[in-house]
Amino acid sequence: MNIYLVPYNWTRHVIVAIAASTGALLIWWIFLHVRVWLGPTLYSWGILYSRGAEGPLFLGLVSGAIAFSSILAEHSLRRTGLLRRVAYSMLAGLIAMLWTVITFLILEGIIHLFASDKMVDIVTDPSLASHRHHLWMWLSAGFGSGLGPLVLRRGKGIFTHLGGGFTAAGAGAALWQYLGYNIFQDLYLASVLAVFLWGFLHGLLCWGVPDALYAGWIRVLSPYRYGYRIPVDRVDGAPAERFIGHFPRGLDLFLPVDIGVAELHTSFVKDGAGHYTVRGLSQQPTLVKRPLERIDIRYDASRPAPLETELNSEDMVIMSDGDHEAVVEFIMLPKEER
Amino acid sequence: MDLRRLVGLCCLVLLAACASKDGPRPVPGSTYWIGQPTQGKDTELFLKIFTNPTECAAAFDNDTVPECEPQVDRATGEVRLSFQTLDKSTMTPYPLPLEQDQVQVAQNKRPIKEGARSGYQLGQHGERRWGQLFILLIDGSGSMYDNHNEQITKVYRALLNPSVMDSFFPKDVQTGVILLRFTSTVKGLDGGAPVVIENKRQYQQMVKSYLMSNERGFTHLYDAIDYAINPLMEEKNVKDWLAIHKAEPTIVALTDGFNNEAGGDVCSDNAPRLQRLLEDVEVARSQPLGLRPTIFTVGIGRPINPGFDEVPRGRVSPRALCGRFQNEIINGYLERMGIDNVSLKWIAKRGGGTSFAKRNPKGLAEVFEKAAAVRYSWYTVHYKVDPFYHRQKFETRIRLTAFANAEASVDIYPSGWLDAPTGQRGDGQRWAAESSMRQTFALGMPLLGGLVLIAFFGPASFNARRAVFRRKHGSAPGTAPPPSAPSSEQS
Repeated sequence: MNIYLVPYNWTRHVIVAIAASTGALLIWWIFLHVRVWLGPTLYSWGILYSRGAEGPLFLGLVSGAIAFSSILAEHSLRRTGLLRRVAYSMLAGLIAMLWTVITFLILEGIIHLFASDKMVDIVTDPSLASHRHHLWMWLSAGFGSGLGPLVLRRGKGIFTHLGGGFTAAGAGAALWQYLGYNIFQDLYLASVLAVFLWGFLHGLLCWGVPDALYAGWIRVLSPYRYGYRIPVDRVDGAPAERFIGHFPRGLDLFLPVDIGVAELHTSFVKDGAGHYTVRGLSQQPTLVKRPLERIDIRYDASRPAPLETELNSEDMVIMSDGDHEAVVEFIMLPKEER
Repeated sequence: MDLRRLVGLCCLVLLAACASKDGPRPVPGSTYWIGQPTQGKDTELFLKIFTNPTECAAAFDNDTVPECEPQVDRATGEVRLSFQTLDKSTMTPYPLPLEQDQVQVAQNKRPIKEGARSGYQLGQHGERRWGQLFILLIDGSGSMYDNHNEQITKVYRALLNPSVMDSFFPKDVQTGVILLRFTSTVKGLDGGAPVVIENKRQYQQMVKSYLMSNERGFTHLYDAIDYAINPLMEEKNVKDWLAIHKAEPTIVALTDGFNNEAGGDVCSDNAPRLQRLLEDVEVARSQPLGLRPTIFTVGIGRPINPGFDEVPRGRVSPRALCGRFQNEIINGYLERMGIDNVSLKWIAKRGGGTSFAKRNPKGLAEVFEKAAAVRYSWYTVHYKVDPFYHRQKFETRIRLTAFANAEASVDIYPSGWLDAPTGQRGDGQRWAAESSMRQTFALGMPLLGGLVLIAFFGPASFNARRAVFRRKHGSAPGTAPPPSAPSSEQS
């Protein structure tokens, strides 16, 4: 996973979901092979887990894999060193897994404690495939899958991590029950699609690629200097303002008067909160163009301050003198890109 | 203690906590577990249920393992188990000629019956021939010869059926046949003492020469069977023959009516007589396995009580035996209405055999072939129930309902979380076959491929869209070339 391959569009919202669901899918596949393919051999060697350990192990491993994948994806995007990247991911996975296993056993104990004498054998049977009695385990595993990454992210996004993990695992459990009981009558497709959904929703809800990994750029679309671009952001991340005009000295981007650009035509601003805006500094026509929207921000002398509008990636700013026009676009690119 | 040792110790502790050497073992090809089988109480044979490939390979050979090992599929609710009957004293295989209706399979104590979502099938494996002495008790009463010998002709044609003769005298093992006719007495077919016939030629000669000869009298069915299981077994020639050939006696009693010992007998008179016979049968059946007789009963005609299915436990009562016909005369009335299928079933049940009601020579021939059936060294039981019953642990019980008392049960534990690939049912196949784990690739690869495609599609569509919509915009500058960018421009 590489930040260069994650453009600033819908991809950045789903890329962690893809990573987490891939992790869940792979661990399901490995677990199933160990259980079914290697199970009899491991049993004969005396090293296969016992029947009662299957539930905590399965949920713990899936939860751990999702936490692992989420942190691995983040640190890959941040281009952290390999050793640190793996260590952090494993730590997140371990926290998620331990939480899941421990809470599983506690929940099992609680169910045992509150079950009636008639039901105790049924509800404590590790072979029982019941949404009603397993839901708590799924939810605590989802909680664990959020907790692992949350610890590694130093508590940032408590609600999204814990709530997201909770919701994702709950949705996975619902799908597991619906497919396993109502549709397919077995837990093959039900289990794989459940962990897949859990991973995907976890990736969508818990942590998305932050805007901090991208920087705003101004890129010329006019024939003159076509493709030339300058960053809006400062290297130190401080607020910045970039000026465009045909004034020959001190401006950030020079565009000639021949193509309709005023001496000081527009400026692109990044404020302290990380928002980008464009200001119209000239009385000559200045238009921000985006799908289904046109915003005229030419300078109005009767107003105390220039007009400005917030920018989204790929917005076009058209500067004109009435006869000619110059076009630049604002685009978000990975910060690493130079 | 350094970190490496600590991690190693933790791993060992975890492994020890999880290891399951003595617990239920995994069922190959599935996520199910299977426990150790337990034997039923007071059984005569050891019913060994195979729970793993190693046991199958040790008992038979490696080729049988795929058929012998247990198989379970949750989606179809199907279970396959293999079993073998063993002599309890020597723990050596004791083959039996079991048919589907002679084995009862139950899940959680509910017998499996044919239905829309349930079913059962017995598979026989490892054919074995076994020494047998067939004792055919043929009804010699007048009714067998009525209507121009109608009934006895059916018996004649059945006994001379080539496949019946092949079953009575197989090539690979020594068997014998004793042909007896009974009325008030039991005699050899030729009117003399019982003779063990050892070849087809002698058998054909005996049947052709003597079967059709008429000896009218009442039907002393119970006495005839009692004779076959007791005095006959003590006769020297029979006893010696059984001992020399290590054969087991198989009695086939054939009648077209009721047990009827006097003209004024009513149905309820037969209740104490049948009770006495059943007690004698029980004594005879309490002998060691190789010596005990197996009794098959055959009624030629229409059953008088076709709804009778389950043999009641306990003593024989007139009501249980006769129902509404308790005080009806047998001779000339009840015997014309049909055959006494109730007492025939009762005798066969206690005698370890099966009861049949047949009306034509072909049906009779099938009965003789079944009585002379080959034996099998092991069996597979396939059954299915509603998949709902595979959502928690269950007990499967296999019980023999004929030949000998044998029963075993085994606990099967489904996984509460996931399953192996769903079994596939081939064209025309009744039972699903185990699916290969390779099928997980067929599921996992499209999913992973889909994810990769999405990850690829994001930047690809971004680039493609920009290539189309982010070309050069705006007007070209005037005729004069534009000035070059100033060197002081920041970037």
